[in-house]
Amino acid sequence: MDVYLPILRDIWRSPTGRIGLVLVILILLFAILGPVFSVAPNKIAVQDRFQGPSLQHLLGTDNLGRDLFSRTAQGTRAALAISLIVVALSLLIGAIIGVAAGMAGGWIDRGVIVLFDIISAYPAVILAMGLIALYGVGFTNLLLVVTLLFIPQFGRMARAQTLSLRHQPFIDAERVLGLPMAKLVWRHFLPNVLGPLIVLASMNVPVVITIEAGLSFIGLGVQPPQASLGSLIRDGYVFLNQSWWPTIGSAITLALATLGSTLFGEALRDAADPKLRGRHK
Amino acid sequence: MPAIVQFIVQRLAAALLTLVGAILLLFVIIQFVPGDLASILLGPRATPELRAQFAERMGLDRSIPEQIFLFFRRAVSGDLGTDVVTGRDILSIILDVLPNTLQLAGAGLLISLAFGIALGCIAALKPGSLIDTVLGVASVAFITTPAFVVAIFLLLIFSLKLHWLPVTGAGAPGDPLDRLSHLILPATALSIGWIGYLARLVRASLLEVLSEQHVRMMRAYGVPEGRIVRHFALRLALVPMVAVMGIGVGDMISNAVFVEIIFARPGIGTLIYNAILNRNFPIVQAGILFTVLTYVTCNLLVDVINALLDPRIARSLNKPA
Amino acid sequence: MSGAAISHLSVDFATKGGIHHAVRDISLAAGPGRILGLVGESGSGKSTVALALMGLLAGNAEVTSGALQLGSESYDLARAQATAALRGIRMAMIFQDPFASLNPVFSIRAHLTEVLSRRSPELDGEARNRAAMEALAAVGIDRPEIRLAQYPHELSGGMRQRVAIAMALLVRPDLLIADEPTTALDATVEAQVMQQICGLRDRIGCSILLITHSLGLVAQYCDDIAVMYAGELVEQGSVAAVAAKPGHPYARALLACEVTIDAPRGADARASRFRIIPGDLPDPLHLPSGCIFRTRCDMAIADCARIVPPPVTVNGEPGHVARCIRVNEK
Repeated sequence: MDVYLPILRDIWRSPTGRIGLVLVILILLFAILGPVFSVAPNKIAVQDRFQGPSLQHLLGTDNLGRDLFSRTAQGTRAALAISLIVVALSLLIGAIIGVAAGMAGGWIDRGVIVLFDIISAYPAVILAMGLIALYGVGFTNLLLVVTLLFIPQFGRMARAQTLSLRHQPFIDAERVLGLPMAKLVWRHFLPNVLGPLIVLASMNVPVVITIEAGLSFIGLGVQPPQASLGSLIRDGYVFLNQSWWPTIGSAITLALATLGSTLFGEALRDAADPKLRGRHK
Repeated sequence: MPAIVQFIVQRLAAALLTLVGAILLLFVIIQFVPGDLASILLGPRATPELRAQFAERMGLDRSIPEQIFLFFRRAVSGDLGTDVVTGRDILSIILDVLPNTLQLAGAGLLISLAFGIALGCIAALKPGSLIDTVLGVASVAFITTPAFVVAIFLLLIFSLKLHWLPVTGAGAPGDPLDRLSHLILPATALSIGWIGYLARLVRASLLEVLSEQHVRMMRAYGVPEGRIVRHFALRLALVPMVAVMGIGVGDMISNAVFVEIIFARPGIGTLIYNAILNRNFPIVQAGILFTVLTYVTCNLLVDVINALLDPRIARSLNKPA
Repeated sequence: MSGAAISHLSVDFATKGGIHHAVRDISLAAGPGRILGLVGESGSGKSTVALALMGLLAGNAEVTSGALQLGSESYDLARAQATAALRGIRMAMIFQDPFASLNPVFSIRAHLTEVLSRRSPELDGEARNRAAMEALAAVGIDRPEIRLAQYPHELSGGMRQRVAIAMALLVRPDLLIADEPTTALDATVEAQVMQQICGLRDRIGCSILLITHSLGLVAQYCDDIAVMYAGELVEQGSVAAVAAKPGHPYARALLACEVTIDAPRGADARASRFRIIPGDLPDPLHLPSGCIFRTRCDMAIADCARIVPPPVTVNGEPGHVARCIRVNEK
């Protein structure tokens, strides 16, 4: 814990980090507690359609008279859940592949790099669209596809860290002492590789949120009746002529979520790496 | 052979390898789709006649290596088949809409570069000033607002409310002015995020360069400050910016999908999207292939431009890694 | 031409802890065709003197007084941009780290012709090119026509420093400031670079202010020496006079750390340089009263804390002065 407290303190000390932390906490609270305070998010009441904000409907209602506060909270929850799962999964898989490639070296290493390059040769959203179109829409496929997009980034970083670590004297010493490879990886590589990967993960949270929202916006992400920030914006966009409210509430929530997580991620990066401090401000 | 030529040859080979790998990946992705390939790829229109034609074309009765070979030969020769819906050659369908997407992404790139560099320089020349702070905050807001949200609000404000610019489409084919007016809003939506990103990058990089000794050296020789910044420092400061433009192009192509859909612009994005909705997979596949081709080509160009800008790059990358 | 003279130069730095008087009342003179060595430890303010002359100090620095006499003209250094018009015309400077002093994305030609476009605007492109090539040849760079098209990373450190000397040569300045020009280079390259600097002096007859922490370099190449300590000048005179009989205890200690001035320097002398003087530079925000060196001086007496030592002529030699109240005691 002693290692993490100074990092949190540093984040709090930087003005942008503080804004980011507050926004992240607010968004988290909204996602966790929002559904508790909301009426049924999928309840249709056509007579109440396109209402502006009121005490009863804090963010108004949509084209089917559904309460937008409840739906936005539900969408925020989906966005956060998906981004956290995707980032965690791609970090884990990327770390395993990257460390393995870095340890193995040779043609395995080169093959992994080429594979990463090939995945990165596709514009992210295009690859995601194609995969989802072929394999079908749905929550699991969405998670797997977006995870695939992010594995190369984590894998490359894990590999680079592994390579720079491999030639440290203490590793050689352990090898001479006959520590099994698996133990070596477990004891030295993963902990040392993990720090930068976590920073990268936090920087990628807003990116995943944006991609999920985009895919949901074009109907390839989270499926109705489950709300997502992207599909809420889509629903609002279709009825822009009738009412702005459905679009505005979800768009602002989306923007605040990406803004907060970006500021938080940057502050975390600066706090975790003192060498970089001040260079990006 | 000069280092730069060697570098270009090497990058070209790597790009080709990546392209081959990307086509292979596309093949693998299609192979692993659960179910009968012909009925999935042909969708609801799969008459027995079309299915037989498809199986013949893909070589479904042959061995996997032969299928890969067929797949490649068709991809390389530009034989992408005939669209079942319209009966048109798929290649010509793609080539019809591709210029629209290239213009959109190109315009987005130009706007990002122009504003990103300008704003980054303004901020770097007065670090800590009010304008620097304002630009810093604006940059983060620009970066974090998704392009499709920007697109919707631009459409809402400038087309629907103010009626300044056209709402949808790409404009009449023979009318450059009309096409330009249809390009402004989508290209702006595409570039907002990168304006913010580049402004921050250029600011940081220019500040770093301006503190380096060779800048002080130029000052010691009485070179005017304006010339030092614009000529000597900026060129060095742009190197890291050009390096990220490869990613920038990929991002532009990705976001072009959303922007094209929102502005109902014909383009690769809308083509793929509509093909997905119609379950017209040969078009999806061909569209994806072309975006990859575009992306890899742009990345190659970015690498070469960067090597021309900074002579150290060709040198260092030529050494075996 | 009557050389360059600096009088009563003082520079302040605004720091978090308060105003730091980094350079206090320095007066120096370098005759035409002479090399003045300005020596002192890191932090003694010697580089600040150079940057103040060039007008290249950082934003938090302020020249509170001082004048530069260059030939028959005098320039008030406390005025903003006092010497801006002289840079690249009558003054030039060579920096410490040759690896950082050339812009990596511009060719050697671009660096040299840039200098010429200010110094000799009347020359056309072809003439500039020829002048640049001649300058490279003059500093001992072979195949200058090939080197011109090359980029800094293709040249060694010594070669890059010669390019910097060639830039100075193209300016033909009255005053050349060389700020630790060989610190980043090996000993063998150091000699070559110093020879080129002396060659430049012989060619254009300028005054050179050589800033260094190496007494060996001063002994070998300089005509005059000035010793700085904690922002003040403690001793100056001809190299021969100061080496023969240093008046200030600090100069004496410096000379004792260094090998004898005539013998070639050895590796062990390099390693032990300055370490022999006990203690550190005083805190710039809390300087001792009286003599600034007394806290590290082995012959300090009670008076040293009360009296700010005035410049005293050492041994009756004209031009050789030291700021110590006990100079002529022994």
